[in-house]
Order: sequence, then structure tokens, then C-alpha cells
Amino acid sequence: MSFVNFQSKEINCKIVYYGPGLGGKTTNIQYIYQKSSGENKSKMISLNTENERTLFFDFLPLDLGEIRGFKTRFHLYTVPGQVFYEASRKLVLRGVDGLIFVADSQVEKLEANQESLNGLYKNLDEQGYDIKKIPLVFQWNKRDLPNVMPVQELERQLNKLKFPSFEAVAKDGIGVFETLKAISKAVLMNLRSNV
Amino acid sequence: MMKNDNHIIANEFKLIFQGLENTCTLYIVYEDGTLFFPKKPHPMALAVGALVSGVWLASNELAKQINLHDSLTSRLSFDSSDSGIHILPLKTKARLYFMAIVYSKVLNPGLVKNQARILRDKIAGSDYFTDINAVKKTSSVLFENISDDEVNKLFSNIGI
Repeated sequence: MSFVNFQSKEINCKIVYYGPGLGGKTTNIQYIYQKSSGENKSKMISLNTENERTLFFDFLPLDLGEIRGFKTRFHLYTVPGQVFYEASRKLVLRGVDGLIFVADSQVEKLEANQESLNGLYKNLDEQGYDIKKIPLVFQWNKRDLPNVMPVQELERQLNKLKFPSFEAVAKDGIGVFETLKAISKAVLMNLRSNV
Repeated sequence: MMKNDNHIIANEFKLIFQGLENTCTLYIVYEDGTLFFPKKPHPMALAVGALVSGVWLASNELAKQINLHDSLTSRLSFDSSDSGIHILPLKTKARLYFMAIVYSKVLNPGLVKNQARILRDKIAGSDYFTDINAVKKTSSVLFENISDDEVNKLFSNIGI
């Protein structure tokens, strides 16, 4: 859950990158980490296996500027994509404010995308989230590969609730910031005040 | 939340960890990994928050597998003979937090863990924490109609 501190005028939000294994979730936040600069650049934490697959999560805090007088910090997490890490994915989802579903656009990955998306909906439901209300953005990654599905087909198969979506080649940074900014905007506009 | 809550917690820490304050560091973390204390963290402290939460939640899930359900009386340590990290659950009236003490080169780690428990109990029984900072889902939106320019400006702070 996001935290708004009205005394210090600070906002903390949690954004999770979700999706099938080897879809490009870690690549997204590695690119963000590489390109972010300045005195507010934070350290990225990766809990990996020996062969560089995400074991638990990647974590990148982003100390951003102010919006309407509120200092804003986003906590970016990835989940492990491999099927047998379901328990870890559930833990990382706790308190999530916004989601980026990173889909692998390749034809042969459709089933893995669907399985991961179904798992996401199930996990959110178990944690009491209304999937129609939580900010979610789709990223169609790996658009540079030759065997990709048409975007319209990905939309039809995976994005039935018509969430915003972006094409991407995360390894080259294409679409990475567009996706992040879209979910950030959605999360901020979903914040609720008790004043 | 009371005014200057971080100041109060810092003072309690100094009082209870008298003589140890130079070798011990206190962190208090929300269940989702967001840091509650200290309020003005250095960049590494943010990672500590995420990792403390992650390691506790993972250990708790593991404990459930062996029917060790009472996690609120549990504690978690990763340490050598004189340095380490000690994590305790901190349940207030409002919510669950995790309290972590990181200590380095202390003569008596057992004393550190004991003082950590005393501090945890003191904070948990106090009114330092309430839930007014948490966003209530039933209330009105905080921001309306955020423009793309505002979002771009927000990210320009980190060169994006």
C-alpha cells in the first residue's frame, strides 16, 4: 500500500514488474538504473541464482522530484518469472500500488504469457485487490525479434480489460520509460487522501 | 501519527541502547518494505528496508510449512560472534512493522538482542504509531488530472 505522509509531504509507492520468465522484467529496471543519474541515484539490489535468473526479487528505489509539493519515491520490484517461484511472487505482490505486465511478444511464448497473467490475477484476488481498479500497464516486449505476434493479437489474447499498453525493446531502452511513466501517472492518480 | 515521531523513536533508541548507539543502527520497516525509520534515509537504507521485509516474509512462509505459525513471537538473526542483523516483528494497534537492529563489532550481541526486544515492546505499547498516514481506499483522490508534463518533470530529477 502506498504511504502518504502529510507532515513531511512524502509519497511512497510500490510498482511491481510481473510476467513470464525471461520476458525482460529485470532488463527493464536494469536499464532504468543505468540511465538514472544525479545525486538521487539509488542502489539496485538483485537476488539472483548463479546463472543470473531472478531468485526472489530485484529492487530499485527511485527518489524522484516533487509533484504538487509532495516528495515522491517509487519502489520498483520485479518478481521471479519461473513457474516454480509462485510463493515468492505472492510475497513481492504484497502492498503493490501498480503493476507492469511485461509480456514476451514471441509467438511461442503466448502460453507462458497467459499462464503468468492468470497467476497474477489469481494472486491479486487472493490478496483482496480488484483487478479492474488496480493500475496496470502492459508492455509488449522484444518487438525487435522476427517471430513476434501482431500487437492487435496480443491485445486480444492478453489485454481483455483494455489497460494501457506499450511496445518495447527493453534491452535497447525502447518503451522502458514510456511504460514506467504511464504506470507512475496511473498510480499517482489512484492515490487517495484521508484529509 | 504524533508529531516528531521519528525524533521520539530516535530518543528511545539512544536511551535503551546507551553505550551501544555507535555500534548499532535501527531500522523500522513497513510490511511492504517501505522504510518508516529513519525518515531521511541514505540510499542504502532503502535497500535495507526491502531486504528486511523480504527476508522476514520468506522466513515466515517457510515457518508455516513446518507449522511454526506464531510469527509474532519469532525473531530472525543473521550474525557472526560480534556483528549481524537482528529482526523482530513490531505489531502496533495499527499494523505490522519489522524492526531491524544492525550491529557491528559489539562485545555482547546478546545484550543487543535483549535491548532490541525492550525497544520493540516499548514502541509497540506506545502511541507513536497510528494509521493516519496510510491512504484509506474509501476516501477521495489525492491528485486529479496529472499532466504528462508533470510526470516528465518528476522523472527529470533522476535524469530520465
